[in-house]
Amino acid sequence: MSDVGVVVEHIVDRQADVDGRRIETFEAFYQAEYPGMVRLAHALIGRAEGAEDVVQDAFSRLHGRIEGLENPGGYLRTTVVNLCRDRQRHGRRERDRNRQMPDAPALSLGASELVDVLLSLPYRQRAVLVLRYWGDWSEAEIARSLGCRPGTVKALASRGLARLRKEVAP
Amino acid sequence: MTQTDIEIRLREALIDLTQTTPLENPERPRADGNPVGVGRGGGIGSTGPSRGAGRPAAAGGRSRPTPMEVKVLTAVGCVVLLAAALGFGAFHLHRSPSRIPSAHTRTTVPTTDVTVPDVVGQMLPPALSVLERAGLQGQFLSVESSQPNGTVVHQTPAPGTEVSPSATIVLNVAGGGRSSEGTVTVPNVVGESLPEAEAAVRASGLDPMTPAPTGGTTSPGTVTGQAPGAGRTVVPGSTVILQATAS
Repeated sequence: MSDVGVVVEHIVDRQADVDGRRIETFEAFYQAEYPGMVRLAHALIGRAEGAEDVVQDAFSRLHGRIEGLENPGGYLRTTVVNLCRDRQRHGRRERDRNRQMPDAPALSLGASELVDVLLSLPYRQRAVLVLRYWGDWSEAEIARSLGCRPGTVKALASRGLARLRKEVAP
Repeated sequence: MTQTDIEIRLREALIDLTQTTPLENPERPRADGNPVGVGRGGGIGSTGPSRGAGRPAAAGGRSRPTPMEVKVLTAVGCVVLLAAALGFGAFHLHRSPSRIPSAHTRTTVPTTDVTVPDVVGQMLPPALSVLERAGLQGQFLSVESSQPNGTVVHQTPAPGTEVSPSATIVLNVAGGGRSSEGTVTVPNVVGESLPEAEAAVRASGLDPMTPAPTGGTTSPGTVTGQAPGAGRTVVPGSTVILQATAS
């Protein structure tokens, strides 16, 4: 993780020599979007580990192109969503380990069970649920990020919800 | 739009999950030497069960800066905006720049003035983060706009204005549709009696939901847990789950 961070920092520093304005833009963008993106990645891959890697990776892909993009935020989010899909295969064990963390005083209400079921869903179903219920994304936005049609988003969501309903104790 | 139980639970579960997101290096030191970020010693890469230690509660005094999480006093924001509007109506000829009264600033040791960053056009959560990092307080008020919900359409004072550190910046945020009322801050009701807690939640424009206490009795007790947690900003009408002990 820190390696990626260093790389990004290095790129940014080099850019600063060339064009002080541009670094300002990228820096501000990075600062603003970073925490939310890490949380998004966390929700999408279901574990904290790797979430920052994904986001750093996404930022490094975006760097240098940010000004040519009409919607850098959207591009970033889509990149994160896609990188998380690549990531999710790795290490289910970490997730199990993470789950052993004691719950915060804020109640859980079987939350971890629900998250477990969520993580067992196919990635696109899970992503739709996360983006819709956690991210409050519009259907169109979700469809763009997943590269499918809005109708598909609806179908994925209802399938995912049905599965949750069935498998999570009431 | 009514939500099914599973949708509510899913939302809460995801919020709970991402409340534990460790943010190791969300803020890197900036070249201009602004005291943004917090010096983290070692620990980079330790994403294990170090939640809570992920980010010292320095700078903004917030330990968990969710994008949506900012202490916002909407009421105060309304008053300020109303006052500004009245002032504008009465003295529009003067066209004086509407500064936010310094009464809203924190009583910290005054240092050099801060230049208000431009957050117009950004979505609210990142905009608030930007202000917070500049040491400024953000308050917001939803307004009618053709822009997408949650977009900052106007800010007062204007970008580039020099203000005292920890001044309050009022953001006009595009509303309409589901989030037309802006957002509200979830009150802290843990420790209160259930009726009190429910009243407080309702008073905030939120909808309390109380699962049956685990003891098998329905008599109301004391609230021991809540989700979303206190201080989170949510859409009005959102459900706040209250867990109460059997009394």
